[in-house]
Parts: sequence; C-alpha cells; structure tokens
Amino acid sequence: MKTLVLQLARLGDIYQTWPVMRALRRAGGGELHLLARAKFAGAVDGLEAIDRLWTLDARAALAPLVGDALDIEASLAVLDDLVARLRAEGFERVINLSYSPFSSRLTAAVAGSGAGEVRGYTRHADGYLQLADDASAYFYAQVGPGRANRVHLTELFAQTAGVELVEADWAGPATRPEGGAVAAKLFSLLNGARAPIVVHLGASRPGKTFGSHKWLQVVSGLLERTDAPVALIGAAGERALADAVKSSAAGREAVDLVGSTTLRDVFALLAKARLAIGGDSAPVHIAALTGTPCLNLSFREVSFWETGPKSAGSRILAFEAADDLASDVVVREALAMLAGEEGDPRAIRVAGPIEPYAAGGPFAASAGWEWLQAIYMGRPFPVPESELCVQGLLRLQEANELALEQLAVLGRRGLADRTALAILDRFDEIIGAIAGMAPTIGILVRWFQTERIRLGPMPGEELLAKTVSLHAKLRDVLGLYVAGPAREETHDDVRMG
Amino acid sequence: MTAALSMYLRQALARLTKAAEAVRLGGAGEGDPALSRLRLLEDLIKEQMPHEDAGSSTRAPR
Repeated sequence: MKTLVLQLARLGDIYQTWPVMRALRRAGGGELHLLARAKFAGAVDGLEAIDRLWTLDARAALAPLVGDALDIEASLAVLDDLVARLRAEGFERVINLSYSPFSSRLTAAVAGSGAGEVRGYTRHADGYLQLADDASAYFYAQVGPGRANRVHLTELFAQTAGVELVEADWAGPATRPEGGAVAAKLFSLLNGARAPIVVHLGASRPGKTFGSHKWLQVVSGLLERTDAPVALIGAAGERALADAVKSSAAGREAVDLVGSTTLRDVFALLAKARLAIGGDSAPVHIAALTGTPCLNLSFREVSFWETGPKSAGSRILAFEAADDLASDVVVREALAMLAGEEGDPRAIRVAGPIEPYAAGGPFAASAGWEWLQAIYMGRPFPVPESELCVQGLLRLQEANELALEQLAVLGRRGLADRTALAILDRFDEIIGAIAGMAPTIGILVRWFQTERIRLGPMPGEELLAKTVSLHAKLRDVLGLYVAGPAREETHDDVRMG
Repeated sequence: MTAALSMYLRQALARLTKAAEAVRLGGAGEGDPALSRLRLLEDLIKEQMPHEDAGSSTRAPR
C-alpha cells in the first residue's frame, strides 16, 4: 500500500513520529512517504523507514504575500503545485499526524474524493472538519497543556496511524555523522574516555525551560560535583543564552556547542552521553531515540504526560513554573541519576518508551484522567470529585433532556420546526457555560461536542437519528449520577464506544 | 515574527476573506474546490501567527 504521512509540526513532533514510521514500515509493504515542513526537514535525516521525503516550503508559499504586490494567485500556485504533485503519486492511504486546520485541508486535497484510507484530521465533502478516527477525535477534544490527558503524543500518533509500537521502534539513525564534518570540540567529546552530560539550554518558548541565571547555577553545580564533561547544546538563536551560561568551576569549563551542531551531531552526542538535561524540546525526543536517560524540566506551558521523555531511566521534575524549581534540586537529581540512586520523591520515573510514567505526589491521582478513561477506554465512571461537579452534571442533564425533547419534536413535526431548531441552537451555548462549572464536566462536554462534529454531512432524517442516539448516550452517563430515565444503569454498564 | 511581516500577512488574510466571500456569494459551498483552495492558504497564513489557545501553532487542535 502506498502511504503518505503528513507531519507538519515542529522538530520535536517529527522525532516523536520516528517510532510510528518504523511501525508503519513493519506493518506492511508498499512505499512510505513523509511530508514535513522544509524548515524542519532536517529532523527526518537518518530516518531509514521512509522511501521519500516531501517538503512543504511555507516560506516560498507566503513570499508572494510579503511586499506591496501581495500576489495571492502566486501563493496559491505554490500550494496548487504541491497538491498536484502529491495527488499524482496516487497514494492509497493518507495519514495526517499534524492535528491542525491547515493539515486537515491539505490531507483532504491530497486524498481527493476517490482516495482509499484517510486517517487523522481531514475535511468532509462539504469542507467541514472531519475527525476520521477515534484517536484524532480524542486529540481534538482532550489533548493539550492544562487538559487531563495522560496518553503520550507518540502513542496518539501511533493510534491515529493505526499501528502498535514496540520498543525497537525507538532508535537513532543507522549511521553516524561524517567524521570530517564534525566540529573539533564535538569530535573530542565523541571520542573522549568519559561520557558527557548534555545540557540543552533553550526551548521554542521561554516558559518551557530555565532562564540563564538558573542554568548557570545548574552548569556550575555539575562542573563542581561531577567529573563528566558538560556539553551545552542549542540552536544558533540561543547564542546569547549560552554566553550567559558559559561557566567554569573546579578548574573546568562547559563545552559550548550551541549553534555549532547539526541535528545528526546531536544524535551522536546524545548516544554517547550519560545524561541529558533540558526542558520540553527536540533533544528530549532525540534522547528517546538514542535511549539516553533524560532529566526533563517541565512547567505548566507543556504537559509532560504528552511530550515528556521516553528513554528508560529518565526522570521528570514537573512544577508549575521555573520559579518553583530550585537549580540545586536539578543538580541533586542529576547526581542521583548518575549514581543510580533514588533521588527526589517528587520526580516522575520513566521505565521505558512503552511503559506509562510512574508518578506520585500531586500526580498520583487525577479526577480528569479517571473521567477520560471512563469515556474513552471503557473504565468505570468515577465518583464525582466535588459538589460543583454534581451540580454541573445536574445542569447538563436538564439541558440534555430539553435537547432530546426538541429532537423528538423535530421527529414528529418535521425538520423545519423553527421553535425546536431555535432551542437546539442555544444548546451549545448552554452546555458551553455548564462546561466551565468543573474541569471534569468540561471533559464530558468536549467529548459530546466532538462526537457531534464527527457526524458529518448526511441526509436530515439520518442526522436526526444519529443526533438523538448521541444525546441518548450522554443521558446514559448522566443517569449514573442524576435521577433520570437511565437511572437503573450501573457505572460498569455504560460504554461510550 | 516582525511587525512588517505580520502586517503583510494580515493584509493577505483580509484579501483572502474577501475573495472567499465572493466565491460564496456565487453560490459555492465550503466544499467547493475554489473555496477549499482559498481556505488552504488562509489556514497556512493563520498558522504563522501567534495562537492564543494552542501551545504549538502547527499543532493547534482547532
């Protein structure tokens, strides 16, 4: 089967896609193509599982719009050309792992009306968003920082693609970078007797990692308290940060490689390293492929559950903000990891790429995660965690019963009954307000709204029947908590399917 | 993103919105190929701009 995978996100997401590409390769024959942004195509270098890399050059597509000429047709022509070339390939399967509006439109354009299998975000024939599979619907409704999701992004990619991952899917490039192309400082690290500690200073946004002052303390602490070389890595744009962090302690200096390594160099360096330290950024995901233990600093801008490290022996220090995490805690945890000691009880442990994180303390239990497991994974529905949640469920039940009544009116009087339609129009607004009453109510409301989006275009009578069926499912769940028509059900009986 | 680039892209978005509206007034639905073509560029431009409710502009859930 000839397959195109779209991964139009940034470096980190591309590296998290590597195991999925290997699983797709393992799962069957046929050509496997990957479309990535030209700007991040370097992150595909060394991925042996693909037959062909396509690139989306967003800069070229947008260039005609910059300047007084503002040539929209020229921009459209760049996109038309890409779509035409991809369509000409005649892909039998298109898998979109990008979860973005643009990628959904591109997927629909490439797949066309006669394509075989389409997975991930795409578009219905009427142009509206189509969530082609359960994993994409889950992503749409429940994934992102601040949400209760605990399914890792790589696993979501795999589920979207319809493949199962095995540990061997996490591996670096088969070949090392060319010796002559490697900078002298890197060469000496790669060939030195002692394995380095690699510190990645930057991130795509400042809130995702430490600032220069804390990094300086961490790097100084590592130089003072270990005998391992300490290498600083980062993009050329992080030069100022590196200059502020460069330090010497105990007669040693950190090896500054910021801006002087290729992505392949980083693979080689991390493969040699004893430990990698950094925020939520591409090196964490490269380390997952090289099997290098990571000490990952995680703050509220990101969800470590979704994009945390995967290499065995990694640990995560998750705090609300960088201000809440002392640099000395990071140094002590790094030393504990190097010594194979227990370390900070707050640290989240990573057993390996397939195993779920072992999290204690504030992360041990999550009402939201219990709800997600009940709705999507067939687990029993939990006891409401607060009085506000109970009140929210009650309000939701009232709104849902009202909607069911109006749907029954449409069934009896015809689909054009204006009063019923007007009331149903307000339903979204009402449940949107109820969703704000408690986070777990938001989870249930987002599930319902997303499932309704998934209904897509169809004849009116069929749409009415499916909408009623969806409201009935919601009634079943609400009936577990609030007196109503489905009260006789038990928690274990309700499956959202 | 520089202020100038942002300005150009906003200008392009406004132009595209107008063009899409003209296509719609001509009787085309959202699934019409002419409109889909415009929406594709529109969404590419939007991805370049800071997004309030998404950590990654290229992994925006909506």
